[in-house]
Amino acid sequence: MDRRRFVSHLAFAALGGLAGRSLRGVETAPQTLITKAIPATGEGIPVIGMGTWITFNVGSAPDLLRQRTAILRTFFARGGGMIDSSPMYGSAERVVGHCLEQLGHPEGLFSATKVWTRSDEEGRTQHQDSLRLWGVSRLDLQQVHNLVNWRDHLKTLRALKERGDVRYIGITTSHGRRHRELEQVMKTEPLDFVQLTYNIARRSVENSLLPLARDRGIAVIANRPYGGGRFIAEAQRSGREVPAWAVEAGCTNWPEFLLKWIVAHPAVTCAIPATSQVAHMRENMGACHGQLPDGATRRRMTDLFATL
Amino acid sequence: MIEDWSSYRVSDVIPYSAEVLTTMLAGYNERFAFIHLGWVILNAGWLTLWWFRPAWRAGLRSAAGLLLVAAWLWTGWMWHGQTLAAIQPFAPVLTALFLLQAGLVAGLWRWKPALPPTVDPSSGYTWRGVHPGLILYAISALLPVPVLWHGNLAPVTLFGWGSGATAAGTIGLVFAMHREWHRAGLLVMPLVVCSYELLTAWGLLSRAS
Repeated sequence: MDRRRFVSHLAFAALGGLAGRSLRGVETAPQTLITKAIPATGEGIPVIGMGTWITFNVGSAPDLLRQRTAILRTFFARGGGMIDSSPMYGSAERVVGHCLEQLGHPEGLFSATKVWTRSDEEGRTQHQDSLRLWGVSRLDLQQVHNLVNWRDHLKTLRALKERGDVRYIGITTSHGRRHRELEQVMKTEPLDFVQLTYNIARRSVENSLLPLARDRGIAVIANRPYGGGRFIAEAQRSGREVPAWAVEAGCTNWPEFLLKWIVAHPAVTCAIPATSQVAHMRENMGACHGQLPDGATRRRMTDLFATL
Repeated sequence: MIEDWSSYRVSDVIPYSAEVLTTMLAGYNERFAFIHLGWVILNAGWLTLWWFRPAWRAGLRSAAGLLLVAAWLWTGWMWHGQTLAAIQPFAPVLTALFLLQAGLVAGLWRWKPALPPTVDPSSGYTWRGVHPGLILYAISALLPVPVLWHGNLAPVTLFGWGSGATAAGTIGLVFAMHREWHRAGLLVMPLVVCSYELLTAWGLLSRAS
């Protein structure tokens, strides 16, 4: 655990103890960074990470690289940790590496990427490429992208973990696809993380995958928290403000509303919204601070969103 | 597996944003400004000569074949292979398709035989008689549609260096110059590329901001 996280956890422990309140499986404390434990080790990570699909695939245009560096600066300044990428995302890994270098490789980074290929051999090559592109000596989390050739890749990832080249291993899916197969993998393979689509409008994982993750001690990363941006657009089109009762529950704007709804689920470890704007990153990271809604408030939030 | 893929929307599988594509096109144009300007001059020159020098049309048809080969080579290599590849993992596939089309044109283009019936101002043409293929080529080569769309000249693409414009212009030229069935093969790739470009544009425009 690095110094910043250690201090953050100390503050959390102190305030949490004073406030004397916690939700089951959810650590919260007013005005502190909200973290959750990775079940495999108990290590805490901030509940809001960052995705890089589309948003960090910007090639080498200097202006766009500067903008993305500013986004990452804001992310880390507000307590961000996990950055998730993939070889499938074009130049995203290289851009993340560039930004990290510009920022002097900030403390607190939790590097998460994937192998995305049918070839076992190419999977190993992708892992080495990722280390080089990110500019790190080891990755915190290496995942099998969209279950592609997961049998071979998981063997490779386990070997990498045993050698200390990665700290955690996992498997991903998105858009609610291949859940039955994912469920079988979660039941039969030793995984540290699983990544799936979970948001206020796509809740099918609540019935099987999320309870299974809790039972098996697997951390859950929720991707597509805004439904590809549609939920924010819908909320804005509705012209409605976040209601006072949601603000009291710690959701001061729609991004916080949507993100906190997700990470308040006891089985969810973190959510990874993506953005290409600093202002949006500030809003996203707002969901990593303050308090999380309790079960009753969450149900109320679900009902409200259905009316937008 | 098929059901799995069919549940994706077009916007789900485009790995870059409209903003980044526009920036990349602008950089591509800036880097090769003189060559792209040369393409405009070549295309305008070809159309002018075709219009005002009917006697030269046999040679101009061969020149059109050369323009097509050069356009597919340049766009495939410099745009897809050297530029778009930075943000599109499937760019090498597009590069291969463009190079293949350049080869197809080189092999199938009718370089020498007699002229097909086409626009001839000296024989009392009317607009109805103007070959639609040449109009499509002229639009693809000279009309910067993106400028009309959002008023920004920097990312403009035309026949010779832009993917969709080259494909559309090729359809126009092939349609105008060749009516033989066995040369219809020259239209397959341009139609595929046009479909791909239209789907990409639609996917980018339909994506929530």
